[in-house]
Amino acid sequence: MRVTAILNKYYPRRRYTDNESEVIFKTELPIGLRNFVSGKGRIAHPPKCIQEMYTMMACLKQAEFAENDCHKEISLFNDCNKHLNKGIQYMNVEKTLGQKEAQPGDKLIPSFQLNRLLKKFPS
Amino acid sequence: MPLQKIIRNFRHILNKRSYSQYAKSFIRPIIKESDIQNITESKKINVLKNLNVKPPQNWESSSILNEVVLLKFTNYIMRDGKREIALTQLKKALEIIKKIQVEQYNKTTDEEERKQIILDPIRIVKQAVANCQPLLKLCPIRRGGSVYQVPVPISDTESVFRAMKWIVESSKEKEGPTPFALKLAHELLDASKNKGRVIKKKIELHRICEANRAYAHFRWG
Repeated sequence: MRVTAILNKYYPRRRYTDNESEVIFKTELPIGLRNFVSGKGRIAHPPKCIQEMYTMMACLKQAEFAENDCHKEISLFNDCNKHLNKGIQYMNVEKTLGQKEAQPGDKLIPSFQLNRLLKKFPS
Repeated sequence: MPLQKIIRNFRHILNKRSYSQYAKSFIRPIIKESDIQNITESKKINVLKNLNVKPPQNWESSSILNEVVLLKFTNYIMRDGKREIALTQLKKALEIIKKIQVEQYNKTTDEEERKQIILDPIRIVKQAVANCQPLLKLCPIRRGGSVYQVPVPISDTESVFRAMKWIVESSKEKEGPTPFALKLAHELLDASKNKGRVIKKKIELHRICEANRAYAHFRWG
């Protein structure tokens, strides 16, 4: 048995229309800017550790895929990836900048620093 | 809808963890003897002396066979949850390795050559797994209507998993009526010396990754 047909009678779903005039914009709360910023914005990182990967591959090809001959390149590649794998890259930024306050002249300000500023100086 | 809301609230209550048996100040026990020796020598012992310690888990013990590598290995050998059979097979393999190494040790006369032979089978297992760990993996990524095999860096835990899986798979594949434990022992010995079919498998993967290095930037964007 399907419940949707019955339930739609009592709890009608929203109808989607193409007509713009039918859509009414209601303001239930007074419109205004908030005192905080959400930190959901994702930064598009440029490709990282790709140079290390190429150097490692070139070394491996030269040594006929024997890993003993290029320990240096492999360790460099692995160290680079440690931060990438778990998404710690962003966490490290928080750790280093978390204690500090935003200073005049900064081009990029993280969300937690901005929120701290907005809390101090609302309005 | 109200009905859905009620169910959602109910689920939230069910999933909630009620309380822990131990307070947050309790620390996990240190089980390995080598770790205990390292800590007693360092200054950390002064802090740990006065803290409360939890009891160890049921599977944890300071025995020789409680190595993490061996516990993982039994899990990959195991079928249908028959842990005892898997463990006996592994123990047999370790015994065979020991016998082969001791035989070689007694045959050789030079003392310099003798020092190079590893008699501890657990050390051989560890070395074999370390030698078989791949550096990269292939990840299928769809771009422009066709699927590309893109070389991607592999995490440490996953590379260990892949190495163990390859060793177990290749020892199952071998022809002939020889028992599994014997095949596994020879496979581990070969891998510890950086040769054998598992090492070949790893090199093949690296070769494909090298050939597909032009697609490496597909991982982003």
